[in-house]
Amino acid sequence: MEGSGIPTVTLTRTDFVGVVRNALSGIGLAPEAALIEFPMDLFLPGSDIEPIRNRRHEFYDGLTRWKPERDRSESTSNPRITIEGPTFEDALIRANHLFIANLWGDGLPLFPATAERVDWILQGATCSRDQKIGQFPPRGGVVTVESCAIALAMAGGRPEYLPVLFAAVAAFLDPLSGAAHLQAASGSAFPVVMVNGPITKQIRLSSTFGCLGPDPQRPAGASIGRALHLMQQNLGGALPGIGSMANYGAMRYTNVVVAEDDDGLPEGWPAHGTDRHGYGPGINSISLAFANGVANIRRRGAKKETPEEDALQGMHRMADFMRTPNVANLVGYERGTPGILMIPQVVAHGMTKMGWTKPSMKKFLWEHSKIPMELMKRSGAFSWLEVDSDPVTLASRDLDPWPITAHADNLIIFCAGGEHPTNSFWLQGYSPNVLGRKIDLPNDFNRLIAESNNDLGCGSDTCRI
Amino acid sequence: MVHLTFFDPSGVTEVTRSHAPRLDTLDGKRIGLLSNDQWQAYRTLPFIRECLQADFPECDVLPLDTFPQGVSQIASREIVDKVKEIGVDAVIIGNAA
Repeated sequence: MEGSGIPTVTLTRTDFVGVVRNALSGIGLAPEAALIEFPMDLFLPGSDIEPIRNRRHEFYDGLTRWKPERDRSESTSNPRITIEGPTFEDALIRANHLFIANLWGDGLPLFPATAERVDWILQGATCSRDQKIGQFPPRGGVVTVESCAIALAMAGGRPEYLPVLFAAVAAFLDPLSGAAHLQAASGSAFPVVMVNGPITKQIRLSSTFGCLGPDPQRPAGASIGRALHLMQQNLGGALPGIGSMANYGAMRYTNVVVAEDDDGLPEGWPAHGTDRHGYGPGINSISLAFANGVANIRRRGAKKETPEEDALQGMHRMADFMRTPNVANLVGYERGTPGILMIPQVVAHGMTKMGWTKPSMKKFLWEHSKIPMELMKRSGAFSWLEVDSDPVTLASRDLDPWPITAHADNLIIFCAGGEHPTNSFWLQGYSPNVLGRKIDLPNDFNRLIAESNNDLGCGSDTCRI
Repeated sequence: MVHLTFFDPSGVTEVTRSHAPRLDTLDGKRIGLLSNDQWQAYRTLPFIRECLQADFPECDVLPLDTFPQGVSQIASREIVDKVKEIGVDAVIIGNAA
């Protein structure tokens, strides 16, 4: 409205000001705005709204007298800072104090992004450091190749990680990802970057035991995901309680950056990059979705089930888990995903031997996770259907039982988690779309891998502690 | 002394558009109310309308239902076009919470 020449005043909650400023900055306006702030009490049912009368002149002034502090940008280069200390260790500690004081950190120690370290990371780039990729939503911090390298340098990353981060950022910045809204909203969305292709083994990105957590043998996912989070926070403005209203913010230290067990997939079982995005086998690619919940599902049976009984019971248990009137999946009802079901490759093999396929598993889970409309109404989830602006989601209110997503194919089944059949894992979707990107590698990528092996020791798949 | 120079990770933002010029007065102007239909906007915005009408009798404050309400509705290009089409001079938006 402001950009179209119409002066505006916005009535806002005090703690929401950061979100509004990020939104303005993200569309190229000065982040200051004519905002009239009130505490949360005013915005709750039955509140006393009389305080508005006492401050009504602020609304009038906002439309007649208010002015922004600046009208145009001054610089487009990433600024630098100098810290000094009696020793390197002291300077390093002071730098980390500054990261916290300036709201640039995540509470854990960071590497300062020195020119030397950023130059080293940039060896993994396929284009010039100044190339602009976009603006990080919602604040609109300018994203260049150098910005990615700065974040990766701080997060403890390495040059060979940069191609994956770069592809993930490119998908994140696509308006279809919904990132601008999801970063700021209360729903605690976090990005899930699913990676396919030989690069996963080369850079030590885990698809095996503990693949969503720390692994000294496969450290890539933590650094890449942490770098993405630092960009979300520092360029995108997603600061807890200021630019992001995420109530809980789970998984935001490192997000999720995980490989699929491409080598362990059964015959005829398409890798996720092929299944969802059409990339050929062996193509290095990422797939970006958002999730806002994580849960382990004990899939395996307890007694003397036959393999067929074990498979069927496990499928029902996973479907039952999905069959809950949680409105998170409305976000991507038509084109996104209700969630990512991670299963170990040994389970995929077992299911395949019994005649199941990836599509037939999706179909079964979709059919058996439908929710009786009575339960949708009892929980109030039906109201969220009624106010949804997407016509497909709105029309789904006539379906009984109600499918948790418009199409069975929206469900993601992702093979990872080691060679053990007991558990599967559910990442609850909160994703308007699922976006894929190919990963481009620099010409001397093999040299980077050789240097990595030299620095970190033998590769994770040959070196078992 | 050891000097450690590093990049500011917050980078830069670009200001490429200007905020709208403000009105000289509210008298004789037409004011629109845009509601996201959340956080008690159905109460607060009509209340602000009452205040404006009392303080500026010559000001034309449009009723809340002049424009579609809802988060996605008020962010649409169609709303901007409609605001301009019916000659609205300024807008009050709520409730961002």
